[in-house]
Amino acid sequence: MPSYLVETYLSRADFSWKASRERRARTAVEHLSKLGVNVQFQRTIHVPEDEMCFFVFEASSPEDAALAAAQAGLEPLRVVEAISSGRR
Amino acid sequence: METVIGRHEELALLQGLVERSASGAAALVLEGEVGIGKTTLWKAGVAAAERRSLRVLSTRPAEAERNLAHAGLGDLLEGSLDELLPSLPAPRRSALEVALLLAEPKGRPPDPRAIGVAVLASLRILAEAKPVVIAVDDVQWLDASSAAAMEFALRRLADYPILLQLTRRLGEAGPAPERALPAEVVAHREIRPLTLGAIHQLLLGHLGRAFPRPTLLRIHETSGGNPFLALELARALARTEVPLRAGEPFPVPDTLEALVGDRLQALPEDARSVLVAATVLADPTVEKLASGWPNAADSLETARREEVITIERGRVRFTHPLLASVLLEQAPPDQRRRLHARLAEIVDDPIEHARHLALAADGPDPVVAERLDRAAAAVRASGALLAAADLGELAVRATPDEHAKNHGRALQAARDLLAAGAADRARSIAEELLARATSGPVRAEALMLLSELEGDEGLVTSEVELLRAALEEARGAPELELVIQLRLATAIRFKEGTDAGLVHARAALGIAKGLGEYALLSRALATVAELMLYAGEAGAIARAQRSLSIASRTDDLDAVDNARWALGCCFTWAGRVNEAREALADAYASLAGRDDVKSKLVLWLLAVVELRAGRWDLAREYAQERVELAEMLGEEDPNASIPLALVATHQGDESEARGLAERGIALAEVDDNAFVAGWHRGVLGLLESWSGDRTRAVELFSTAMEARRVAGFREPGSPLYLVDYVEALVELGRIDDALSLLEPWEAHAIRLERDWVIAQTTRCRGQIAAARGIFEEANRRLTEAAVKHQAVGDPFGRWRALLALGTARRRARQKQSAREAIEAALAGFTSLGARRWSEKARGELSRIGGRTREEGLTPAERRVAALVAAGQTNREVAAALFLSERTVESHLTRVYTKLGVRSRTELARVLP
Repeated sequence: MPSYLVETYLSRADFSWKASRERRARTAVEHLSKLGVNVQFQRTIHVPEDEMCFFVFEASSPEDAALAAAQAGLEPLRVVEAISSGRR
Repeated sequence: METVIGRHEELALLQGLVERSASGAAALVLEGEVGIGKTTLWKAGVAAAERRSLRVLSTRPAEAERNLAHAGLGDLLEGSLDELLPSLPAPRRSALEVALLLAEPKGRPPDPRAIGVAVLASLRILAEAKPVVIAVDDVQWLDASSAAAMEFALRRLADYPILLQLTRRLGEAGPAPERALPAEVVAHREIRPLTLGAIHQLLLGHLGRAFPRPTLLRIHETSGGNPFLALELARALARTEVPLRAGEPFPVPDTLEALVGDRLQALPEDARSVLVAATVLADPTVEKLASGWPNAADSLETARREEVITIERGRVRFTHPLLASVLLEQAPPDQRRRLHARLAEIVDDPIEHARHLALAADGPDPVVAERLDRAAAAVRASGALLAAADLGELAVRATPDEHAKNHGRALQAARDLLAAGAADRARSIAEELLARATSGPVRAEALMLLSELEGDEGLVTSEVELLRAALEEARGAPELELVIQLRLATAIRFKEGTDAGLVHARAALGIAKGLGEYALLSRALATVAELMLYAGEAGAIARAQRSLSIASRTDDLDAVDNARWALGCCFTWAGRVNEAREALADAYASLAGRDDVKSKLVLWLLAVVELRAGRWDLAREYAQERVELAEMLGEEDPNASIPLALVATHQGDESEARGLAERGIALAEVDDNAFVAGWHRGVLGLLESWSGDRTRAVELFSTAMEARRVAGFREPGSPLYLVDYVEALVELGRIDDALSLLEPWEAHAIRLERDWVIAQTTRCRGQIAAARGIFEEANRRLTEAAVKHQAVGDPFGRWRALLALGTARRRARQKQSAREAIEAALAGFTSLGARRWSEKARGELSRIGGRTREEGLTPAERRVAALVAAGQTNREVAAALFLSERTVESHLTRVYTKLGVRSRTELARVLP
């Protein structure tokens, strides 16, 4: 399945909330899976200097990835396809 | 409410400000470049304060308002006036009403200090009810008169819960009211650029659009994290159809001014015209703009939709000040002049009308100049001297060079600037005038103005030289000559002596008699009276009384107060304390009632009067107020602290007195003012003498007296320490030196009928007799001195005479009568609060030893003595105490022996 990068704003004051956002992402994905939506939460990439946090979802479509992000209350700025390589 | 993105630290600071648990004042100043988000944070701060139910006083001055009189103050107090005005005392209410154009000025306009006092009183009232937040956005544009009033008030409100929340554009000079608070309660925070994430969030929130990452990165990089620039770049990119390519320059301008300029150029022409008018109007309402531009409503709606302006309660406000400044800059000079001409036709306010006329003119125009002159006069009447000076300068520019009123207007503008404390601008106008007016009265007035500047800076020499030059130029203009002569008389006395001053004062009097104008005549008489007093000439009091009598026939409040002051001054140094108090109290009530800064002269003398009268706590209040007034006015005046140093010395607060005196000497020496330095040396001399180092005391007194001699001050009642100088010499055994001071002093005092001084010289003679071992004479003189001191209302002198009497009696081994006198002195010093002298008296008592008077008499003898001293006959005493008359007589005989008295009269004198 393709991967999608969900860009969110995470201000310095809210850095401690990253863990709870990740939990919400996992919960959202579990819930949506039960409803038949094909989406998985992979990981987060936090860039503190830019106050940005990227959530990586595998999903059938960008809409499904956006749905998972919305369900998790992540307030995405953008959802774009991401292609990783170089991992074994 | 606008969400604030990426500013959690600044928001925490704002929240911390309004949650302060400490009760005193504090300030938070947020500084940043244009567009960095200061106003957004400011609004959040105001909201935080309102959520906590604090009183918020706010103003957001625009650049066009910085020359308007008290505009900021009006905004700040607008919502509180209904509560404040009824609570303020009459002079403060009146000053505030006049300043805020709520009432016409009556008589003299309020000066900046009076307005500052009114603001102080107002803020105090509000802060006593609950904490107050004073929020000023873009404080660099706060008008100078409002800033001055705020600073005056804040300097005195450090202990009140008043929180300043200010924003300031980086790199811009302008008012800084936070400087009025102690540095440790003022926090500055420079607002930093936003991060990439925050910019992304901002763009999404404002434009509803997320940008590709490379574009976002370019926007962030080009804007430097400046939110306003980032938004403008994003808007411009959204408008253009040219895609942003990697490695290629931005397809839109990348500076704020250019971006904003492009955005504004995209507006229809007629919308831009109306908006330019809005930038220069003091109060740009839709109604006002519509009266000058028929399609204004539509144009403004277009601009509102484009988020260039907002319209709040019919008032137009630019969404960012930069939009206003770029608009104005884009308008060519011709267009701006035509704009001002049209605005001059539609505005009602005569001051604004005059200003627009001035800006519409493309050269000197006497009609415009006349209107500006009148506008300046109206603003001056409200107490906004800086704003009056600005209008005055415009009037000068509009006046043709050859026009008769040109120089007069320049002089008036310079006087306004001087009175408002803008010395540099005043000096520059005066110097320009000097360059143009090569001779005559105008040159004289310019020289006088410069002399006032020099005088304010304590440069007496140059002040006198300038006045002399002014006098030469004023020949043939008698009123001007008179004023200069009077100024010279006062300025010159510290440099060349009282006699030199008196020459000029008498010259002024001669001119005044010729002019026959009462107010001027009164002023001249008052100055002559004062200088005659200092010169030790007879007739000063009569002159001062005549000055007051003449002034009272005019309605010139200044002349009356001036005469009262001169009379009070004469009575003070003559030692006629009750009459001095009466004259000075009247002057003080009148001046303080107008919050007039001349009250400082009166305070100084009132402190000395009450010091002499033995009301030392009251003397301290006056003296303290005099010092605070000097601080209030930002004056480093060594003269101001003399009364407080004297009071502290008398009360035994030695380190306070010494600190004041030493600082006073240092300041006086910087000003090259030996006379004032001498006063402070006299204080140090008292400290040394009273603590026992009479050798050092005599050195200090000698230097102080020499300064007096050089200055030509010969009034015998004036140096408060002269009696101590003589006494110190006597204590050192230098009787001949003491007599060489005493004899001429006494003779002069007798000639001028200075009873106060005669009491002191009598005391000195008693001490000399005691030092020579001539006990009978010492006893007689010192007893006489005690009576004389009491007669003139000098309790301190009386107790000192009794102490000296007791000491002399002790040395003559008359222990009982010595004890009586010293115990009376001790009780007196204690009641005055003269701690050092109480110690001296106790010391003397301990040297007597033996039983106290109380111990010496038996209880029965004490009862008999008390009743006899109260005037009862032996029979009455016997009846009252259930004794036989014979028993009363026996007791009385023993009482006489023990107390060393020989009669009922003497008994009454030694018992309280």
